[in-house]
Amino acid sequence: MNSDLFKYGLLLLFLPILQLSIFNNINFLGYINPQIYIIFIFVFPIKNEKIILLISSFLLGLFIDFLTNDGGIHAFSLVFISYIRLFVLRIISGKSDLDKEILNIRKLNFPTLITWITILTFIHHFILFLLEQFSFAHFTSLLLKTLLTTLFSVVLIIFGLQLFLNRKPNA
Amino acid sequence: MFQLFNFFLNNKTGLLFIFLEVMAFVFVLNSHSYHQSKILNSANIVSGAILKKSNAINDYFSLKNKNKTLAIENEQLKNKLEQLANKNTAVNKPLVQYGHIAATVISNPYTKKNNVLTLDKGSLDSVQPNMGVVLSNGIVGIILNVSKHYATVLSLLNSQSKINAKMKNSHHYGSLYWNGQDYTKVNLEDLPIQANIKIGDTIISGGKSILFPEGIPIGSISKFHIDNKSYSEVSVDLFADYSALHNVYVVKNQRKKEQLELEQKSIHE
Repeated sequence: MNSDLFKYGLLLLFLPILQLSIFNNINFLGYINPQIYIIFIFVFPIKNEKIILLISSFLLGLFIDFLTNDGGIHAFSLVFISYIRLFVLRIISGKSDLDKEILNIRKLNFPTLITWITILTFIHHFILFLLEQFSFAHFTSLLLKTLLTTLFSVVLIIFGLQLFLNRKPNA
Repeated sequence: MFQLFNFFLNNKTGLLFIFLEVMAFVFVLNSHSYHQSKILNSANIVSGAILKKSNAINDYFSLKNKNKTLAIENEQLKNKLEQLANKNTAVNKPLVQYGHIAATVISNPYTKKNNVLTLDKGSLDSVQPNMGVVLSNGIVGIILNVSKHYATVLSLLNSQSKINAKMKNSHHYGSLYWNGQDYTKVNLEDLPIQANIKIGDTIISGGKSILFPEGIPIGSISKFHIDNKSYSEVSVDLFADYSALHNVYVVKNQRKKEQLELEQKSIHE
């Protein structure tokens, strides 16, 4: 438990720095920057620790907002998907009692994992960009930006998950 | 609906969720007011230091271009100096009106709709809120917040910015706005029909505002329409590349206080 706390605490500090120093400077097609820090939501273990997850994702989002002068848009969208991540997983996998078992994302089959990540990433990015522009004007360009960034983020997150999970096969 | 309500009430996670979301939303709202949130901005020591480090890494990859821009700027300045030295100026200004403080941009998120930059100079270098920030070929924005070592800038590329500008060859004034779409273009509004503009005309800073010196080139007119005997959608191509801001100058107007006091006095009379 303590080593877990340490691990995710470290991740909480490491992800914003990674996001800011590398992934915010990609500017693919001029404006696409993958938001990889949301990988936190996918690697955080699914036990009965919803409150810790909510608070830590709030802090993670706030830290990113703090570094990018974004008010609270990252915190808002990250807390939102961290709250709904189990509902979404339940709907996709068709299992109703996911909370009770200690679910391991390595045990999820690959299509379920991808669908789960894609849906949550899309919701996150949509809320994020909507709050960023703070109006419903230019809705199609908003949607296009959301779609392209989602695609980019999902690919990177899947790669990241492979790295993160393969490093310690016994956990 | 009732079930939903019940669900949230019987559930402390739900309550925490709502609490956190409301808090985040307050921060969002706060960041949309002009005098930005004092809590969450990058002019503080922690994020300033991180931004500076990450900027230092990125710097290595663009040194060549930056050197080139600086060399060009040096050349222009030298030329100007020579012209001035050759000119037999009868004008004796007792005080140089504008001082410049050189600063480096350490965060420039130009892909956003509302841009706020971070500079590596702060109150210790006598940077203060509401000072102008310029380039040799453009206007960057206005200082929002300062800390000891860092400052944030409300960019020209921000929907809250409105910067005074004028035509180079006539003395007609307008205001520059950004429409949030393209970082190479801004719109010029409130231009009187008498200005008689053409495509390719140069726009310079107006000097009506006390923040910027007059005559900094900003951009050239790329298209416009005439509706109902007034100009609409006057689009200006910016000279400066706002995706690669690096060395900028904070403008310190030595006579700002004097001018403001006089204007204040005149209004009250």
